[in-house]
Amino acid sequence: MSKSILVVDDTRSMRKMVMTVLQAAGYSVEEAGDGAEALEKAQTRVFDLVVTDHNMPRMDGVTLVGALRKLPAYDEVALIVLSTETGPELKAKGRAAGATGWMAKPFDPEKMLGIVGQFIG
Amino acid sequence: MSVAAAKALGDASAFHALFFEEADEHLAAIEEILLRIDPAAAAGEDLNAIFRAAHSIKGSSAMLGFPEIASLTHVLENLLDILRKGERALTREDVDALLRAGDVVKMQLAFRRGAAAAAPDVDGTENELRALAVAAPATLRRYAVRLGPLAAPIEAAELDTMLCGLSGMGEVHDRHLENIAGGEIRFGLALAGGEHDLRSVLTLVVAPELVHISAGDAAASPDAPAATPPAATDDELFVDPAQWRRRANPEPTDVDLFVTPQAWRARRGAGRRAGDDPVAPAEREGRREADRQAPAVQADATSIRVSVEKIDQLVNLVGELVITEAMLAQQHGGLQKAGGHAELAGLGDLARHTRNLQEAVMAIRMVPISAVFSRFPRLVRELAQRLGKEVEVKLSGEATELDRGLTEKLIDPLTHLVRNAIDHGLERPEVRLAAGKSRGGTVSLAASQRGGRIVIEVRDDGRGLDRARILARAAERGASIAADAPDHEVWQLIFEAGFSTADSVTDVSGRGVGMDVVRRNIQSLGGTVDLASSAGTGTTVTVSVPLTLAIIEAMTVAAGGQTYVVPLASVVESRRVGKDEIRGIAGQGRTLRVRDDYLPVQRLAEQFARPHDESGDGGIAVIVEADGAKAALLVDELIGQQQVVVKSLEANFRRIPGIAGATIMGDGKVALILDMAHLVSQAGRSAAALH
Repeated sequence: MSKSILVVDDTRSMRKMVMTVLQAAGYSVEEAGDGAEALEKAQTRVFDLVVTDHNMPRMDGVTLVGALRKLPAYDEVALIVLSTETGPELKAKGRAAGATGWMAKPFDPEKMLGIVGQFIG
Repeated sequence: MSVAAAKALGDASAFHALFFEEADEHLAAIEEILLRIDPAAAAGEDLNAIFRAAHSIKGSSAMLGFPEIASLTHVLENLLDILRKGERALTREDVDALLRAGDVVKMQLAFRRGAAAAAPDVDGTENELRALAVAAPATLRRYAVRLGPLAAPIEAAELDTMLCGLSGMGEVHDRHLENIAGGEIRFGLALAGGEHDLRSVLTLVVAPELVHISAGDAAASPDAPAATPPAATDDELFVDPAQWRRRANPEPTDVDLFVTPQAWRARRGAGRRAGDDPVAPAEREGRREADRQAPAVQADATSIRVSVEKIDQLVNLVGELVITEAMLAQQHGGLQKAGGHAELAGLGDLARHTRNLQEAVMAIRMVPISAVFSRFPRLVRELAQRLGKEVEVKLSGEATELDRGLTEKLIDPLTHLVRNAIDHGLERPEVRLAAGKSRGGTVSLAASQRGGRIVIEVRDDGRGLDRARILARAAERGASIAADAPDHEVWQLIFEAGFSTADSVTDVSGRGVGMDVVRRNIQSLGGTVDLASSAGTGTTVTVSVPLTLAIIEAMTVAAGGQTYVVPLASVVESRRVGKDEIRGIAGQGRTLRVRDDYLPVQRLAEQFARPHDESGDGGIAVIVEADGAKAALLVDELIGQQQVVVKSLEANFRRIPGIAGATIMGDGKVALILDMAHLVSQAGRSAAALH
């Protein structure tokens, strides 16, 4: 079975782009419009990897990462933040919350597939 | 984006439509918030929402290769970030600049989607935003500090440390050091920090009750810090993929792996043992902090997005179904006599289900009228500014739903009415005050559903229509109206083409080519316009339109071997008339006497150049009404009454005067839907020519 990835972004077009890239590479992809929705979905099934935006309504990406890490099933799931924000402080916060990596937007699709492949290829 | 990346993403233009739609929504949301926001009491949540919307547009536009939009929204975001963090208070200038920037983004989007020939310049707007994106300059404040009376001298080393520390915060001057028991230490200090900071330093050395600080005037401000440095901007927006290096490079890059994939895999393979948690305690604390911040999970309303074409297709298919059902009912009309009860019951069910299905499908096309109303706060604000008036706009019934096709057609007429209300209706503040009214005027838009119609009221509390002037103007134009005619007849005059009582032509309302166009537009939607006004208290224009344009109740008639559809809303009555009842000169103006009225007569077959027998019987007269005028349409036969699905003739063929659209009948033939306003006015003209 193909590996499953949860894509979290409140911007529909961005979400669609990330999903398209991942789907084209054969991953099975689910989507969520913000951190809260993502957390809800993550509680019903375990994804192999999560790619999340940071700045979102209801629950931001770093908070989502922290909440996911608290779930026993997500102890070993790679959590990657994909954000236009790349300030060292925020990155440090993401790291402390348990993020596996941080990618800047706009992203290079091939690079994204490279990163994702390294974790769940 | 590199070529290779573009390939991996596939055809980027596949995302354009989604992006444009989304960006439009974000811009509308930004505008809506900016228009209602009170700079003096801006809610953090509002600023956050605007920030997020700009942020969202920025991310996708950079990805899709729209650098101007990405760059402008980035600068926009910088300003919003300063504002939402409260580094500087929101001002009226900010709101204006943000609205303007939103317009430029809109124009850029229009250009990118091919709806505009040229792209607007973004540099000027960016510079304007950058100039505003300056946190409040740290104002230097003068403080006079007095410590004492001292119970005992302060240790020299401590005093030194304190003064040294204060020098680091600001400039210490006028020292008066009486460091003895019962003495005082006084000095002046100018610093950027607040009194709180100062006190916290002083109390390290002296007991709090001995610290006396009096704040003086604001000193000269230091140079304002430069706008948020754009240094990181380029890097953030257009990262050269070649620059990306693996985590060996400690510089900030666009990818930062906190764990090497090798370590990750090894750890996963080995499984995790207790006590093997690689996360430091401080980080764990951080996680817990993050957990606490997590808001309660809420269930989101489930909805899906569907393209308008798909819905229109559904509407069309249901329309065909309605036609088929009508056809079946027609063909089996004789069943009752034949005793086919089961078939009749089945047909009845089919009719009911079809109607329910039709209503359900039509409901999908319904959108709240807020889609139309939302544009008015901005319009009113700008108009009021331009005209030097104070206007408050009140919206109500925004949730009232109507057919999507109607909303677009209502925008122009309503915009016209609102402009009129502000330009002609509302007085200037000084005039209002002199008349004992509030300084600012009010324009209210209210929508409500009444039966199968939507009623929209545009009301102002201005001066009202000037009856004397309208009558004078009418006299100039040679219209015949009695000086004591009732108000509603006088008001009708302003609906005539070219009628204007405006003292001067303004760039807002133009030359008074207004109300006639408004009425014509509304009538083309099957609607009506009414007007009520009273001097000194204001004017109310009431627009009433049907809920939907897609289906009408109609009477079908035959004339010259052709079937025509008359909208039932305009039918007053129908009757058989003898030839001798129609008077006048054949081929020109003819009239029919109906009770006390002489109505102009229009022979349908003649209107549409169908074969007809001029010498034959009068036939059947369908008395119709439109624009407050009546006419008699002469037809050969009344066929029946039914719902018809309106198809645009313009979209499928071309526009024909006197024809509002077409429909497909039960037998599969096309029937033309008559444009009653056109036919009645034409009949009226030919009758007038006769007099």
